[in-house]
Amino acid sequence: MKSRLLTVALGVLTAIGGFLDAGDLVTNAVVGSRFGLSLAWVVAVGVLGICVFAHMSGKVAAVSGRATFEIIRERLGPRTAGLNLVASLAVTVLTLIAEVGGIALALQLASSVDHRLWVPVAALAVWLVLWRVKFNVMENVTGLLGLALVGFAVAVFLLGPDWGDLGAQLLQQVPVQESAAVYWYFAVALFGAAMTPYEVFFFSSGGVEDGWTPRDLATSRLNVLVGFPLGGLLSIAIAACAAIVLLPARIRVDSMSQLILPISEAGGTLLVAVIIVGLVAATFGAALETALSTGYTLSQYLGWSWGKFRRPAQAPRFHLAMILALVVAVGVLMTNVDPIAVTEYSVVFSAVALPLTYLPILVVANDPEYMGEHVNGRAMNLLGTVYLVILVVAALAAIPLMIATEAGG
Amino acid sequence: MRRGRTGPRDLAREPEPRQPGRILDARLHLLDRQVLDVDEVPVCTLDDIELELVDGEPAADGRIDSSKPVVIAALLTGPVLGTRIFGGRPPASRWYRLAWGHVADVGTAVRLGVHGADLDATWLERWTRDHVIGRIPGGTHDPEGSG
Amino acid sequence: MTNRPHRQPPPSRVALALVLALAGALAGCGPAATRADDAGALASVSDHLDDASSAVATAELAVRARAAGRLQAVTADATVGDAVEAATGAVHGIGTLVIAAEEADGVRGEALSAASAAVGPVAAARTWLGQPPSPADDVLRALDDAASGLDDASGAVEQAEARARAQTEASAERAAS
Repeated sequence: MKSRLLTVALGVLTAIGGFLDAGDLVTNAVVGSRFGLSLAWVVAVGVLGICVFAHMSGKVAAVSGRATFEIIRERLGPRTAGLNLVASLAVTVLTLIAEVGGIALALQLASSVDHRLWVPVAALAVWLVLWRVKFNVMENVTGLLGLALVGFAVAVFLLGPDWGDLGAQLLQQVPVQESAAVYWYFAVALFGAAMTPYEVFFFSSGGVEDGWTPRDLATSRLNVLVGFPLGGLLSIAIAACAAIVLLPARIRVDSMSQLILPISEAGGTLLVAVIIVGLVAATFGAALETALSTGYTLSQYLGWSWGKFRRPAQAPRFHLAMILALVVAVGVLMTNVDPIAVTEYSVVFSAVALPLTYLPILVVANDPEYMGEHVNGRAMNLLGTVYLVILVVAALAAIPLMIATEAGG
Repeated sequence: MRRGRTGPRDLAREPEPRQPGRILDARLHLLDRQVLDVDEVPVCTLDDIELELVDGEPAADGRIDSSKPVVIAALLTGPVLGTRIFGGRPPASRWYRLAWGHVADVGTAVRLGVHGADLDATWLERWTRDHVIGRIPGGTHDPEGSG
Repeated sequence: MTNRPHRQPPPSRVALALVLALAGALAGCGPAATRADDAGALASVSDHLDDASSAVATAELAVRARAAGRLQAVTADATVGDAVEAATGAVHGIGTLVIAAEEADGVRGEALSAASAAVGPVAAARTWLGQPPSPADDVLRALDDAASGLDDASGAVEQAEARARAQTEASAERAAS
């Protein structure tokens, strides 16, 4: 019997991959150092949205045993689902590239050995875990170690900011020195990061890996309600740290190492060590999540055997897909590209992937053939529909905003 | 390839007597469904069905005369994504047939009563296993066993 | 009788709409990204100067934290190493801009020397981190000087940018009338 604490590991790991992956760690700090907390509301909106749809996809997985991309193919047909597959894979693989680079950057902080040297080591370590380690050991270890990032929330308190001032930032409009387009570009980027499609692919497939049945619906709900709000809270804490220390110093965040500065000011070397452990675990967890999502989406679309609970020999194409994705990631990183900048471009592909991912989930969650007595209630459908509209608007706005602001300039 | 619903008379009436009165919409309930084998291992995704007239004659040149009743002879799958996405007809040699007699249940997935490893449709899976994945050390290690 | 789920729109139409929306978005917003005129070029100079200032401030915070014993040597080294890269990147960015007008080019020259002058102190901060512990005063003073040099250059660039913008508008009006 698993303990109560460990049953939420899947939700925590999923949320880390969505809110606290390498790209988002830096984006949150960028947002904090440029806009203070004036974009925190976007994170709150995103948390609610991902909770709604992760809950639905977890419920579908628990009741029918079908993971999300099987449903997307079945409902949208090969053509539209194929479009979604291409866009989702682009988002996921770009993020995987950033994560492998992110592990290397985090290790550089701990060792001062150049991150380019860490890249092959990081990729090999990720593959070994995918190849060998039990799914629930993987989710428990990375989920728990990733919790070290709670250090960011601790740092906010240790920094002892002017709470009234921070509170005022929450309600503030666009800061004077920034244009409205840049503000909205970051709003869409944060929202897209919160709702990024590989989270539901991973969460629902992880539910199948963990062998959820209708009896585990409460576990699924607990995972959603603990994991995602925690992820959102930590991403706001990172923004707050940056707003307190980096904003007054006029530092424009462009690398992961700058995240450490507020921490050292707040908690000294001990807290810095804790945060570095958290950074390594979070980027590692996100790398596992995106690598697995690559395998899950491809296998589920094409009907291949998949799952970490099977021997690799019983899901050979699934494992081959993940190996190829990791090879691609290492290859791209070897071109000396900035791993963090890679994630900026994934916003473009979210525009296609987001609506096409969440619409089929909403449809199937209302299908009694799949769900039996567990079909969506009216409140859930209303929320789901409202979020679909927001998703379409954000998706349509993403590319024009990105071009107009030169990706946040 | 349009997925608008066709009338129940158009295509298949479930021939199996075990589930009397159940109507399946071929496009909605069969097409693009996941196929699982007897051990719940995914086999493939359904790409098409093969129909034949009740008296056992195959439907000539693929046209079904709506006046005569037909039954499903086999479920079809194969490397036909190209034609399914962009249109056209794949050559008949591309298809792998899964005999309708092997189908045990049609629910949220199509379940077969046989082992997927024995089917033609999974040859690529076996090839990948034998030539790539099985050759990497630890490829047959059971992750749920020792951890 | 099975329950019949919702009917969906034909996928091909959905796909077509999405592709059209994407193409429209790309086509509509392309030209906004060009920065051919001098005012735009000066805005780029200003951006790069901000990057250099940010790098200097980063190095300063890291050195202070290290001097107070609040940051591990390896981590501080990695942080300042990134700052050195950012500072040299800014110099490179300012140096390679194409600027036509003579006045604007002069301002660019000032900005370039301020940014170049900032690279030394940031690199020196990294050297200081690698040495056995010693007072950080000299390093911090050099960083402060670099920061104020960058601020001055920023001010000059902003003024020149405002002038260039006014000129462009005036000539546009003349052309219209």
